[in-house]
Amino acid sequence: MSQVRKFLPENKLAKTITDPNGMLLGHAVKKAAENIEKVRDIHLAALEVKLDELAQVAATAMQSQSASDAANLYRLAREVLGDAGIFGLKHISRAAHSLCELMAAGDRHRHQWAGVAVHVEALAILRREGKNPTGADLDGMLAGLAKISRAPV
Amino acid sequence: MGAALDLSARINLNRTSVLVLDSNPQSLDLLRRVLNGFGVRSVHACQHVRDAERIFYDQTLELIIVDPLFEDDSGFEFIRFARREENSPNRCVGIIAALGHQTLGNVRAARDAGANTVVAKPLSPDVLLQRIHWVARESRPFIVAPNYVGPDRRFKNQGPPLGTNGRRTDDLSFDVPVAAGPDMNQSQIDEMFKPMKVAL
Repeated sequence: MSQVRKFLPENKLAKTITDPNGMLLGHAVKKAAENIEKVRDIHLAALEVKLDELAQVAATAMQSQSASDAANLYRLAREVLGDAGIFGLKHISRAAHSLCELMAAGDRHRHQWAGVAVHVEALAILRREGKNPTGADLDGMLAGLAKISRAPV
Repeated sequence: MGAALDLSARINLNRTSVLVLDSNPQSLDLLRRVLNGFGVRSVHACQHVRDAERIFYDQTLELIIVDPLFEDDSGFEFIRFARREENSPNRCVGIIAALGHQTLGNVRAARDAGANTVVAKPLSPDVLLQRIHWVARESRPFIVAPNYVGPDRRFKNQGPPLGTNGRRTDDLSFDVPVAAGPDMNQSQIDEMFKPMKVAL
């Protein structure tokens, strides 16, 4: 039988929530949102660069089908998911999430690379549509992407 | 943990020192700005695990936020490292894993590495503050075992694993004693909580 030690450590954050001079949580959230908005343009420009890189890496990975290219594509998909989502680009974030699911499935997904091609095309359409897409049936498209990611494993 | 954030509650993070580890420079910058908005003045933003380890040794921290999904296993390894540094004052600090892709495997890996909680990206300030507030209110015991070091992973007391007697002194036996009398009914229970005049 192995030794297990159990103790109650000091919670160093505990005193932050008992200070009556603290900031209202509502105010803290508002200040944080303002701080994000200040750098929106810079970050959206970086996101554009990242989406270009993702398309290039996807093209390379579809050719090579190597583990390192696949890992690089998975990393970029994760980054796009987070970077787009925090600025409210939810369609791009959802498409990137679907690509993450596909890449995480790896070789277990029988049509992984065909699925990657569809996701890259979809991301290109979503970029053209911008933040408030109206033209196409985007929810239907995103549902289709999710179906591809989940499909034959 | 799922409860909405009470926006009228207060928090003072002015004197809090936070280490943030994320391989994505955009995400790192945004996390720093969000924390500054919460009032945190001391944010140690690290893009590489080796920098985070140096900060962990050199600074006194109150919180660590890490996206453990690095190219290799080093992000999860950093959490394990932090929990196993027996002589560090930062060993038991709250660790929030901010996952870029929250598969069941990633969530389990973060929990089993020793993270207090997991938050899914894309991050939003209210969800992150909710998690920080939750970690600040936490009073979970810390477990040091050969295969795991970190906050107790048993949120619910479901007893020791089946077929074992448990390894902890407070693990209950499966042998349930025979009741000394009949169960109390609801009115008897209510009676116990009813305010009554007493003779002094």
